[in-house]
Amino acid sequence: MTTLKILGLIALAMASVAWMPALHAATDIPAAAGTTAKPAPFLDVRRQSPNDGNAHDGAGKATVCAACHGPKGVAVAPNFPNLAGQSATYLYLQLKQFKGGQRGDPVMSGQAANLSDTNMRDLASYYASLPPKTPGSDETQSAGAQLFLSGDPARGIPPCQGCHGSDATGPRYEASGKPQPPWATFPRLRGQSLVYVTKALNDFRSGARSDSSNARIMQSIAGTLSDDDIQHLSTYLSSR
Amino acid sequence: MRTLRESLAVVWRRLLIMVALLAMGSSAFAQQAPLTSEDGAKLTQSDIDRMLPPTDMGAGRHADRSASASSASMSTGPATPFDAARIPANPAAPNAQPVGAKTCNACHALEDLHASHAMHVQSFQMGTSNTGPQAACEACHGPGSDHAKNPTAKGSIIAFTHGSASTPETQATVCLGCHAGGARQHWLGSVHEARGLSCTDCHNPMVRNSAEGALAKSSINQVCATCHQDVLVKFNRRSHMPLPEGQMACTDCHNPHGSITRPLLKTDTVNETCYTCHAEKRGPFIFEHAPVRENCLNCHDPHGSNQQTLLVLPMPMLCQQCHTMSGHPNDLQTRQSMRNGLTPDERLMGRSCVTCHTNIHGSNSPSGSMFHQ
Amino acid sequence: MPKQHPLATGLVWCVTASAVALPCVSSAQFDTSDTQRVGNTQFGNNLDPTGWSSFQTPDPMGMSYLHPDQLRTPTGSLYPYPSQAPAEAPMGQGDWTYHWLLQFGYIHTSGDRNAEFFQQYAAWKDAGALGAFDFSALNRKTGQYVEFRGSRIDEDNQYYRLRMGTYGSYRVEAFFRDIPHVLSTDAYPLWNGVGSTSLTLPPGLTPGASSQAQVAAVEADRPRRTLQVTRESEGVSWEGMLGKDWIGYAGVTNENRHGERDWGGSMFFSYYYTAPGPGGIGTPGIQGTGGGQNETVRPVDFTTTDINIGMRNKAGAAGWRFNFNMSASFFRDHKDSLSFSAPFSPVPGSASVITGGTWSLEPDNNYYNVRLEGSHPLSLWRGEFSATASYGSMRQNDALQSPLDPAFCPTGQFIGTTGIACANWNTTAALSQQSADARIDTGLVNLRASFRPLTDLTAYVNFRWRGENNMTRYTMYNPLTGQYGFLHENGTQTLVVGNLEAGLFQAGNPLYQSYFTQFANIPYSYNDRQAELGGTYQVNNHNSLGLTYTFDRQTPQQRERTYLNDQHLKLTWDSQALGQSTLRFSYEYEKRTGGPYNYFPYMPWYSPSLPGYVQSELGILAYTVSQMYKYDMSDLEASKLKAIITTPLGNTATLTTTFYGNRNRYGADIGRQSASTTGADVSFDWTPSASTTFNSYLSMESSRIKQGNVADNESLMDQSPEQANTQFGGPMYPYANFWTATDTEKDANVGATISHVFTPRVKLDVGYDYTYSRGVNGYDYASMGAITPGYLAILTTASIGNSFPANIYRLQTLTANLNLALTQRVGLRLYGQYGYGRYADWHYTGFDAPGDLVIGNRVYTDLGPQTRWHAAVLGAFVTLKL
Repeated sequence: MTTLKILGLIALAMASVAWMPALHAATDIPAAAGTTAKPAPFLDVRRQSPNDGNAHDGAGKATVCAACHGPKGVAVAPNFPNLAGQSATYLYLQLKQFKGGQRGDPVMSGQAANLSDTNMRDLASYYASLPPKTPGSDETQSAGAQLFLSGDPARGIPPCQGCHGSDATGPRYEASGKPQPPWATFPRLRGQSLVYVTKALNDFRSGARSDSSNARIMQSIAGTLSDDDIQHLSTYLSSR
Repeated sequence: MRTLRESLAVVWRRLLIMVALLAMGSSAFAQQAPLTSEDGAKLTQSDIDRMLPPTDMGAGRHADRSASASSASMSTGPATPFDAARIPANPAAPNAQPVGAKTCNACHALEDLHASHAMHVQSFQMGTSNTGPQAACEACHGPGSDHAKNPTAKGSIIAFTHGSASTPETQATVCLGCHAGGARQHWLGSVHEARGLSCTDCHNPMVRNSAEGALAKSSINQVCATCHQDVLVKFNRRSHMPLPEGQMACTDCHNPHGSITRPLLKTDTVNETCYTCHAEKRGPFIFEHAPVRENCLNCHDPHGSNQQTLLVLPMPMLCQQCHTMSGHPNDLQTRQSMRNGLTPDERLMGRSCVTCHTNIHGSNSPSGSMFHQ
Repeated sequence: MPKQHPLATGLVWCVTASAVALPCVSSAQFDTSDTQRVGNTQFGNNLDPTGWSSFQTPDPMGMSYLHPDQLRTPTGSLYPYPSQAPAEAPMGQGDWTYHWLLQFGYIHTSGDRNAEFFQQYAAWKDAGALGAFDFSALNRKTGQYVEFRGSRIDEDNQYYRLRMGTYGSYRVEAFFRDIPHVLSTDAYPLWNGVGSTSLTLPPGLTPGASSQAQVAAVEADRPRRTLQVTRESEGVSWEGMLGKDWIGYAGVTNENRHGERDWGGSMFFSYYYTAPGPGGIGTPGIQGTGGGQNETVRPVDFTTTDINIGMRNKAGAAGWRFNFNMSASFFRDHKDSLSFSAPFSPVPGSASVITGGTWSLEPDNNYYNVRLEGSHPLSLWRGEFSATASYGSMRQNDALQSPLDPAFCPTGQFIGTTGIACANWNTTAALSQQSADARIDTGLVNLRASFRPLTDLTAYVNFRWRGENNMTRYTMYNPLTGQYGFLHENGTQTLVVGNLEAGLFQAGNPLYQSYFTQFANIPYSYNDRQAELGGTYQVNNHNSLGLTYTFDRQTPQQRERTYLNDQHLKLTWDSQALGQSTLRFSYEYEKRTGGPYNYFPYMPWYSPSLPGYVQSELGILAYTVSQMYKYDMSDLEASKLKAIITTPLGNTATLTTTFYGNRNRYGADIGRQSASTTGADVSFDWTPSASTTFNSYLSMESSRIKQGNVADNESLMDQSPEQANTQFGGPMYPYANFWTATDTEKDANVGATISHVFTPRVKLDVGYDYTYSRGVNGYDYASMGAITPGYLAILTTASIGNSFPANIYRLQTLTANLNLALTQRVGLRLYGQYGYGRYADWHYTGFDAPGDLVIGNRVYTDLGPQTRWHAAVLGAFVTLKL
């Protein structure tokens, strides 16, 4: 009798399955979250502590860098990012990712390949210590400014200022006993060139930059942006 | 007897199938409609109404639904019950505006993935496919615009975790907004409410880590043991109910959401609770044993004991606390009454007093006033 | 036995309710209320107590890309990392997705697999097993879902549960489960027919005339048996919307309990016949050949059907939040009597007329309950008024047995020399009524008003009344003889002692006109009125103080006190001012007083209340000592303290510390004097990453209960008028016979579990638990007068000592679980559990082999749990999933 009851229940379960649209044998299983097919291992920067390089030592190692990024960390051409005054931890992580393959660039991948961890830390500290490019206008009415400050909830675009700071100079930080975002790893955006910001956002949106925990966040955010949005944001950030 | 039981089993299975059929009858097939969206910096209620579902688990298409899940006659009403969910006011961010779950998920993509496998967000996703995404995140966390602009500002959204700037009352109000009444009828003033517990001390609707109940740990018993470790370990004792074995949970007897009894029992008294599973003890018997009818806890500790059958003391000492009557009950029993003693005594050996007074919970025998028949 | 079964009625109710309800499923949020109803909220088993372990592999990616580590609950405990979402597949072209998991394999046990504590709630068998079968499907458009989970260790230990419904509209649940309870694995019942209602002696033994040697010889060869009761239950329930703001619910569960357990069978005292041994004082006494105790085995064959139906409102009806509930429980005992043949004659040296006994087992019963709850906001001080009223009735009207069984006291025979004819007592014509007609009604009203006059102040007032009315009336009157009272212990008392202790009262009959006996049932009833005033004050952001005062007035009927006043004062302090820690502290003081204590309030139900009672010149034997206070009725002064401190350590660990204690002083020298408990717990949880979890705990508790008692001066019984003196310190209860007993128990529990995901493919969980219990029952006595008079010639103070050997329960358990993913769809699970246990209980000291089960005129069945055992379970399973 017990067996009958069990059979009854299982039959009921089956019947309820049958009530749903026909069951198709599914062979292609969606990959579970977080798995990646790319060879470079995922870089988890959530526990990244602030960079502790030596800026003075870094100055001596920056000769090669200056060729593109300028002697004072302000790039010689708009397709290169300005490094002056950038978050040291951000810079260090970018070098590390170029070396580790999570980020790819014809020039930087090669340059970073030969850098030791200490060199990367020192370089990052050096560029962070340089005075950033002087700001431009202070407007808040342009489409880019609106996106940066308020986002566009109707389209699911969050305001950039939440992490990059109200003036785009980098995140606000407030100590609490709770697990915190790795604030130091979030870059300063103010004063980057239109070309470079556009490229970065496009890289995030396309998934070309998606192999770190931070890149995953930006990939998801950039996915909400249209080409026009990227243009507006780049214009706004470069003018500031 | 056999045939009666078998026929019951047949009735039983038929019932199950009938219920299943009824349930099937209520299903309806969804229709898809093209989506529309509208740009704008500020989100109005009508914007929200037209918005996309917040997550789609990679299905790549967002759909609207015009048919009710339940029945055709209801098709003019809201698509699902959750469409009626309101965004709770956050006293700490009075000027915040809703931003929609899609905005939230732009940064909280991984949270969204986990929450989408848990009942709450699943329900909201289903509900909001018709009229807006606000329910998925902001139905609980309140309007999100202040938080999106400055996530470090304390209290900018309603948080349900340690150190939250939102008071336990604000937190509970959110949950009780939907979960009013029923098991929570007596939440207000219950010990867990009065001691400042929040719903999320026991529940975590953001993940599915438990079979049921959206629990903060993988089982009810583990959740309760977070604070009541002393009670859980009593279940390791010699006699216990099958709770460590996974067959029972604290909530089989207690309602942590509050009840009209001090120990948060689900019924009006201890005995009513016990009778639910030990119905044979309910009687009433023609001969009752006063402390038994009064309170099972007079002799038993339901959380576990070092004596047989959850007794608080070994017999005969248990009985001798009250039974000092003349004759055999009031003699001191010593170690020599044991089986290998000098004077082995039935008042002590084996099951002691209940070897003779076996019907100690009450007797229906006309000769049973002393429970030995 | 064609007993009317109420299940069919229940089914009709349930189906009707469902049929009415489902078509009008409508808007408004629906939620479920599992924690409202008793039972069946947990489905798991020894292989997986959570019932969900197949889905508990944490996602290595964690909860958020934004931050490492997990957030904490408001109190400060870490939320576990989220589980990896199971792979899902679309079902057809629709909106359904589904996943499933099937785990099957084999369980093997080794070592002392028959140990009682090893089998207690597992009933392990070497057999194929279903580790898990889980299926779940969801329609993301409509919110319809189906969830099924099940597991089977063997036919006595399994569960299957189905849930389906539509989010926000309704839910239907159905389950089937078996829960085993192994009560003894060392049982050697003397009787044939175990499990039936009739126990007969095996060949070679004569009822009422066997010698101790004959019984011992037969008993030594009885086969070993396991006594087990299995609960097999099934249920179906529905909960769903019944229109705007109304939620309806209905459920039926049906449970069959079957099996056997130890029972009794008394044929008068045996200890009474113990004589001094040949070695004299201080050496073993000689067991006599009178009386008899029979540890029999009773059948358990119960069916319980519960029906629950109701509806509630979520504040739609003019602001009232209602809940209206009707429930009913129908208990049926398919074997409601037990008869047993007794091997020994209770009369020393001669065969017995009475050759066995009968038991009434639990009668069928019906229970009905109606309950209405409502609450409404108040405009005053943001208040809420809440009221609950319920009425219940429990009833049974089973046919009553005859006082004696004609099989054991045949018509034509007389009980010994008393002249009492079996024929007058072995039919139901000897009863004053043929059926029990028993009924207890209960009522409850609870009124509560809560207020929040200030943002940081809450207050409430609560009144509660609960009453119980026992309407059962039964008189022990034999119309055939005109006698009141009853023949004790299947008639053996009068057989042994004669008419002096026949148990009967009869006016005008010199043999019985002075006998002191109960002649009617005592309908104990309880009434309780309670008022409570409480409030909490938020002192600042981090501290909150609470104070509650409760006045509880009980007015029990037919008890030793007519009223009891119980007062409680409870102070609570909740603080987050200690760094990141949360402290919850409470202290409660209780004082119970009451009306004058009447040590014997039962006179109206005893023969002196009957007309024609003639008091003998020696007076009525003292029923008990008048200074004895039963602990539920005595004065009490109690205090209780508890502190729980939850301390976050960094972002990955939590330390929870608990201290607690209570002290109870009962106002009694005779009876329970005091009870106290002191304990502390520490638990440490550490989750360094998503892939590693470590939990450990340490718990210590010590408790002590002390009682006093006084042996009566048995030499005065039926000899002196002083037998009627109930005073402690008087001739009947002299100070010299005073004794105390103290139960001191110490418990310690230590355990740790570690769970680690080595690669996404290998997950290992290892747990170790150690339980230590030691209980010492000590005693102290004023003089040897405290012990049984017959033992004075056998025992000495030296042999008595001052305590029993310690009772011990120790158990070490090591559990390991290894999950190996071979491919995405196929995996292996290895389960291992090793237990090592020690046990000692002086009740069973000396019961080592079946031959020990017979001592004097006593036959025992159970050797008790094994004193030392070790056993292991190994399970190997294949896991298949979508």
